[in-house]
Amino acid sequence: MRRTRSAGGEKAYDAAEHINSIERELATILYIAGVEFNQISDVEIDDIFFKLRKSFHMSSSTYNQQGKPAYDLTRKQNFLLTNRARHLWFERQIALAAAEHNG
Amino acid sequence: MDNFALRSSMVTQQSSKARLSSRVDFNALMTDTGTRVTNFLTSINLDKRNVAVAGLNSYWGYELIREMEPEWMAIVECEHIAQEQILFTHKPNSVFFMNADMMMIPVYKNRFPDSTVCVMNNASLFLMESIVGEMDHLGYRSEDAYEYDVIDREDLGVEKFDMIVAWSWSIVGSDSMLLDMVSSLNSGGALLIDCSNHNTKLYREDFHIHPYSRMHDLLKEQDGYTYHLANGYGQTVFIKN
Repeated sequence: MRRTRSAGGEKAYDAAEHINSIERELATILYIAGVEFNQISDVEIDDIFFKLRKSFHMSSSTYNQQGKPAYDLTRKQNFLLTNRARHLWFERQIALAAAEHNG
Repeated sequence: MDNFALRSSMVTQQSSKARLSSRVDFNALMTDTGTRVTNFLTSINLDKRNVAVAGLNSYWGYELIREMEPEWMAIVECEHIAQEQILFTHKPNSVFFMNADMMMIPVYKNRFPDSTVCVMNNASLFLMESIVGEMDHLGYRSEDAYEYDVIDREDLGVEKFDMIVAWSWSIVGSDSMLLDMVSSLNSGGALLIDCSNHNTKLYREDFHIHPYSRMHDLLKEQDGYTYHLANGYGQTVFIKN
């Protein structure tokens, strides 16, 4: 919801809403990786990466068996998903700390 | 550090007179911001392992600006010069900053006090309001000096703006975010994406499969025109029909 933060007024950042928006998007990546969203409190970034790398596996054998186009596509998907997961994980850590910071 | 990016940035720095860097001590501002944010990130025990932050511009950018070599400062300053150039080209009635940039928002607000400034509810907003808001390099407490609106992620695509400014790393990997930005532009509106060449990695021979090319391919499919400028760390501008 759009809100106005007047000069010198209360801070407008909403940690709860931020966490919600991060987890909504993260849920999609977790689904692709094969991680249950209800495990999000216990899951680590390592677990997400492990599963993503397993699903979007890149190796010389992939290249040799499936050809360059398939390898390139896998590489691209791997980067986009892992990069986004990292970004969201970074944002989530700050949002959780902000929720604590702002009481 | 890419040699071309370095040379072009240093010449840009020497050949430009930008409002931001001509009015503040850019190096001191960057150092102070980087120090405050990295201290905060340390205090919350941010996961800094390679698996969690490798290649993550949103993280290492703060580490970088904390203790910048002059060459790096030129590159960072060049990105802000490019932003200011686009922002000052014409006067939009409303500007949305995807990343709450505590430098460019006051610069823009001072230049066009009647324009509406809006920012996204995300980590950069928290850092701007809570962590770096006490800096005095801008001549005032940034949090007290101006009014701005804030929207949540779900509002993007619904709210309308004449201009949207974003750092590439907050978009890459999220097609829906990019498409919502385009939807949020008024007709004739402009979307400016800074650092859009992935630290010049986009220009390798396999650029067509580079992840940042996905962002450009998607923009080219939208109703408007897309311009990628290869100077420095890259700027991409989309003008909506």
